[in-house]
Amino acid sequence: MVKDLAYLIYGLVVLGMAACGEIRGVHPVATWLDGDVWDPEGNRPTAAGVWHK
Amino acid sequence: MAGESRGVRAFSCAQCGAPVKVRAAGVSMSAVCPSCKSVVDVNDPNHKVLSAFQGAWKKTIPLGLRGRFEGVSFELLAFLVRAPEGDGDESAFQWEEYLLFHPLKGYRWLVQAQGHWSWVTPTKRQPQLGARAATLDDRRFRLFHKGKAKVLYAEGELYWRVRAGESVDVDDYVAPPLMLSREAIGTSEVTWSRGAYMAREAVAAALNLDLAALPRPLGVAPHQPSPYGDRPRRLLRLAALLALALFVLQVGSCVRHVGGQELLSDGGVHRQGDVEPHFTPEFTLQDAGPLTIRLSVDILDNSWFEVGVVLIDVDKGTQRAFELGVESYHGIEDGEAWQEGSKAKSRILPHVPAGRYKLAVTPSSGLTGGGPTGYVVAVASGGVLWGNFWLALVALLLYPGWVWLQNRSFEGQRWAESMYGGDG
Repeated sequence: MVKDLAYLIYGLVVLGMAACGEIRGVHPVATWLDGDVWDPEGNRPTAAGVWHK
Repeated sequence: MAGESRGVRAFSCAQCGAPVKVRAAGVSMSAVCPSCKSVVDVNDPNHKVLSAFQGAWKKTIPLGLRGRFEGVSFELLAFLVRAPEGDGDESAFQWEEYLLFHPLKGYRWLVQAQGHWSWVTPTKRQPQLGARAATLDDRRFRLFHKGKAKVLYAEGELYWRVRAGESVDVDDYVAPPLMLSREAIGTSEVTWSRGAYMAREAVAAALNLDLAALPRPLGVAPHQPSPYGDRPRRLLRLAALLALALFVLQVGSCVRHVGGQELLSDGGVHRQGDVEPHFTPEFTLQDAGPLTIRLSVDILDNSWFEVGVVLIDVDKGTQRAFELGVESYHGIEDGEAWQEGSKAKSRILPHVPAGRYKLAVTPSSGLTGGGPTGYVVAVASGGVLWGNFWLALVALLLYPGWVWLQNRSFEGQRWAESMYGGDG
């Protein structure tokens, strides 16, 4: 029963973390899978709309 | 003591003359001479010799010892060694049976096989037999073993005329921690008994023996209770409830994020040879969160169309680049028309900070010799992501899954010894 209770507490913590992630828009798996989209190499546009190396 | 001496009788063995003591006189039918191992008919006036056992077996528990079971004191009357018949090597698997007696309760058996103990009570009730199962007291027992067992050795006194090598048909049914056994000689004499698994420690305590004197258990006994009990079922039920709560949470998140505000819808035309990016107008993302970018193409005939997209934070100058592609193919094969692909595709960026953005879109396509391709890139706030749901679900199922696997492995070991497997 102690192990069941420990698992219940663990489960509630997991639920809480999932809820926080959703509320704050934090998606670690999606971010990790999407990780390669940051900092592309090669030609880069500038904020001013100019395309340069 | 007077109570202990009541019913005790002694006589000389007709074979060797050694004294033979009978503790349950009037109930016991045969006794084994402790000296020459002859089986003597107790009720015969001349104590006729019925048969004889050879050799000697080392007992785990001495005869005559008293032990406390079912709240009363039982006395150990006899010791038997039995083995499966027809298996060739009888020394491969043998088990010990101790016959115990109490004047009011009657006979019981204490059985030791591979270091596992059972407290066996004869039952006069007939279980209901089904396909590979028997039911007694609304409890279903599954058939575990069917075979013959023969007596290899005996000592002490017994309530039947025991013979060396006598064999019975034995069917064992299990419902841990219980075992139901049917023993039959032909079809005329059938007896049923109900065995309850006893921990080695409980046996030692009941007989006031040193635990080290009892053999250590090997493997898993047919009716040994699982050390996990019903924990796997309890945990899976708990996990199911938590998973349901998680699903409700995810649905709530979906409702919150679906139908986010459209921030941009910008079209462009791509011509073969174009390599310059197209910059969209700026748009503002009010709150940090997911961002959905959708690419759609009006006409796409057996080809592909792709855009390299760079999301540019206008104020900070940071960038995020990715690709979005669509493809659409169709044809006729064996008279059947087929089509695959889609003319629209979305991508969700999981976490984009609030701010002002614009896109740099660089199209490329597989069209050859065709005209310009019109496309639309739309941006909307929000987007449903399931990553957190699946991550949390895996986290929730890890421990119950591990316990379930451990229990399954235990049951696998149990049923590996059965000729009927674990598929019932």
